[in-house]
Amino acid sequence: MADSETPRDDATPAEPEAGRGDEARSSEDRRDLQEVRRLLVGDEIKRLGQLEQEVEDLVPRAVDVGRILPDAIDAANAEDTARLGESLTPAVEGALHRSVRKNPRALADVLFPVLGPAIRKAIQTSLAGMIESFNRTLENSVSPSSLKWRLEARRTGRPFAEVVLLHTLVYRVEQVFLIHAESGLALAHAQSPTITAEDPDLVSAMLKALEDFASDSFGEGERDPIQQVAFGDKVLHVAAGPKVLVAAVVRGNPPPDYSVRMAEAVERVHTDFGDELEEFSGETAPFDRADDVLAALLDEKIARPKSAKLIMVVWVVITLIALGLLAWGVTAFITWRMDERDRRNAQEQQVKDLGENFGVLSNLSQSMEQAIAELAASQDVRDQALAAKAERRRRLIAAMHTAPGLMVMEIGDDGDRLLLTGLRDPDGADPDQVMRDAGVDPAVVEALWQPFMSFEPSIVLTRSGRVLDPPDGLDLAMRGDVLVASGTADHAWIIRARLLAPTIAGVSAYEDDGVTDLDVAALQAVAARMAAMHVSFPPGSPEPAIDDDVRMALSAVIDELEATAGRADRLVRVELRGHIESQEIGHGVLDLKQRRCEAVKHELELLHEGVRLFFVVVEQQDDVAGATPPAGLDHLRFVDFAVIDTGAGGDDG
Amino acid sequence: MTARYKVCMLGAFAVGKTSLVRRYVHSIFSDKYLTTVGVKVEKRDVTVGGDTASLVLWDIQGEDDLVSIRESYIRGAHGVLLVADGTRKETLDKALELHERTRKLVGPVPAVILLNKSDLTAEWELDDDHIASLESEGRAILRTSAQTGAGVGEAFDAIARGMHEA
Ligand SMILES: Nc1nc2c(ncn2[C@@H]2O[C@H](COP(=O)(O)OP(=O)(O)O)[C@@H](O)[C@H]2O)c(=O)[nH]1
Ligand SMILES: [Mg+2]
Repeated sequence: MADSETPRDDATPAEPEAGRGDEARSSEDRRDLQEVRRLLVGDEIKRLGQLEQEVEDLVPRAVDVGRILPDAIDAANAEDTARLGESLTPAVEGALHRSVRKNPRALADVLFPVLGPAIRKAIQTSLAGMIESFNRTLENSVSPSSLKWRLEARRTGRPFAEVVLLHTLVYRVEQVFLIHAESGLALAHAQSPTITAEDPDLVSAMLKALEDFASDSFGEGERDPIQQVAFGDKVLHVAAGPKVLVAAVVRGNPPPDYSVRMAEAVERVHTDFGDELEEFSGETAPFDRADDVLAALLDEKIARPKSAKLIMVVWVVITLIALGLLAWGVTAFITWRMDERDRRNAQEQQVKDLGENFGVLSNLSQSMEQAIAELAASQDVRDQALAAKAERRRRLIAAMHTAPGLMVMEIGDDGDRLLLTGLRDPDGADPDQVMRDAGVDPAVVEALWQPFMSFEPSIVLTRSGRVLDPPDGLDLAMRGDVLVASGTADHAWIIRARLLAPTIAGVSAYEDDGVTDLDVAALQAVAARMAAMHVSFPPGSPEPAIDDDVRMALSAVIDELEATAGRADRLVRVELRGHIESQEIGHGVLDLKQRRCEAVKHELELLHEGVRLFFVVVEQQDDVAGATPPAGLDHLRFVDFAVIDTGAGGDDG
Repeated sequence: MTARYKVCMLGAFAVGKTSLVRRYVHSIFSDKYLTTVGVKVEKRDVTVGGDTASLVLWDIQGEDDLVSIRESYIRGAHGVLLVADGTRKETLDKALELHERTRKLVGPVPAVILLNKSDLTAEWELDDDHIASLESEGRAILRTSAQTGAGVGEAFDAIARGMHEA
């Protein structure tokens, strides 16, 4: 490639240097030399010139880049913050590492004002949290036994659970205010339904005034805002943001995470109401939407008593930590108060002091660590126990909720036991069984049940079964509030059920169309058997050819008929029908039929004196032409029977 | 509409701010706050232009040689009542000075100057020409007496209207 390029103005790059370097030589010599150079190393000279140029160009280019770099970063930032950050991170991290390795003090100095307050605040917060939970522990450990509460409940006539609740209330958030930070005006307000509230506008404004007063009077520069104001037996807890404060009137000691929740609420309001807060000029209607955020902070908590042993551990640890903090706080405070000039010396001195004090401190810190470990372990156990208890309680409530005929009214804790009051239908589920099914040992639940009647269909059905006691073969079911019976039952049960069913609580009507009356069916069967029987006569004779076997059979069926009719509460009539052969015609047909029936009737009446059956003689009219004898006979000289149901019977006797 | 307005009572010591507020609302806080914290808050609901609004009144302890007003109490105010004692001329100058300071803190919010103790005509020190010239500058000025109640309701109505229309 280089060959193809004709060296046209080759002198251009080399000339300035040549011109500057060879002032003394004659121009002729110069030209010759140049010519020789060109012939020998022409291409190289050209390349060299180009390289030289490039090197020289780099300096102004760096200046140019330096000039546009801030703008370039701005632009990149505007376009995609994450990418720029990513590209820069390794470089910045590397630089920081190197800086720390080279001179750690430089970075420490920069961070000191940030880290100090942060660490102090963290320790303060956790200490406050521990003391708070300690207070609660103490509160609960002296709580009286459930027996005492029970007595109180009896004495005051209040429900037991209410007494328990009163005694174990750890804290209740009674009111929550959303306060405009600048004006102190109440933007929104939520209150627990059980209390009479102070005027939110006045409380908000007064709180704001106190806040201003405190910050003017005690604040030095970056002061943390007021977090709590105590008044009477209540404490006003405050979480502050740049535009709003959230304040909660609390009775008792809320858990440490409550302040976190308040701070989150403050953040939430800042995010959700950014524009409204920016434009706020007195109109509070837009902040009605914040009611939910506030209402979420209205809660209360029931106590969970703890063992006295743990309290001792907590005390020991708190004391140790307090001592440690005191030592730390004093040195930190002193350091903090030193002015810039003295600080370096003081720090060196402090390091020396620390070294001397280390022996004492390390002993202290060892026992502290041990105590903290013990505390953490017992805290773990306690947390697990609490979680298990909460879970147990949740499962119990869920199970009771679905179990028929059980209604839990109130539930509370008494140490390891659950206290429960509720309503129980005697036909409902067995509470002990429900507890066992839910995996809760009934022994840890102290339950007070008041009887009540549930109209739940399943309970009404159980109740109906208990009252009606249906026989095998009879099914009861609920269709809405109608009790429906189906299957088979004896007559007496059917009648009783019709009387009782409508009186059962929860049953509005009773239907037994689908029930077969077993006694009526039996009566019909006996009647059919009797209809198949007959008594035969010798030719021309009105006297039956009746032997004892026939008499016995007849007697048995009539007995049965009588009994079944009685059970089915029916009145029946037995009709006798007389039959003659054609050969007997002329012997006075009607008379012979009549006499044959009369004879049989007489026999039967002899067998059953004073029976409730009515024997009626009926002459058969249509027997002669083409009649066929009944089964078991080869002639037509006989009397047979028909059982007629004449309707429902009255009372027996 | 449910507006809430913060109104500051400002003025020199003993011009009658507390008396005016006490005349206007039934107090629930004790005056203890005023001496300890330097401010007392009261509230009254008013109807203005058909809407109801709550006036949250900040009775701020007076300014004299010893006690200066906390500026943080004035922040966020939607209106100010500047109270002067008609029997002490210098209290009007104080009120005007406080008005200036308020404007720097909260901008041009509605303001009404109250010339209080109007019942003490014999000791009245303010001359009418001066008042008229102030009025001609566009300042709202009312005479009040916390003693007799004269002009008190009108004064609070005036500031409520001013804030409502702002
Ligand atoms: N005669 C009269 N006295 C008043 C009036 N307003 C206030 N005062 C009296 O002036 C004194 C100071 O009043 P106060 O309300 O405490 O003034 P503040 O310091 O501005 O709050 C008290 O003795 C009041 O009784 C008024 O309108 N007429
Ligand atoms: Mg006063």
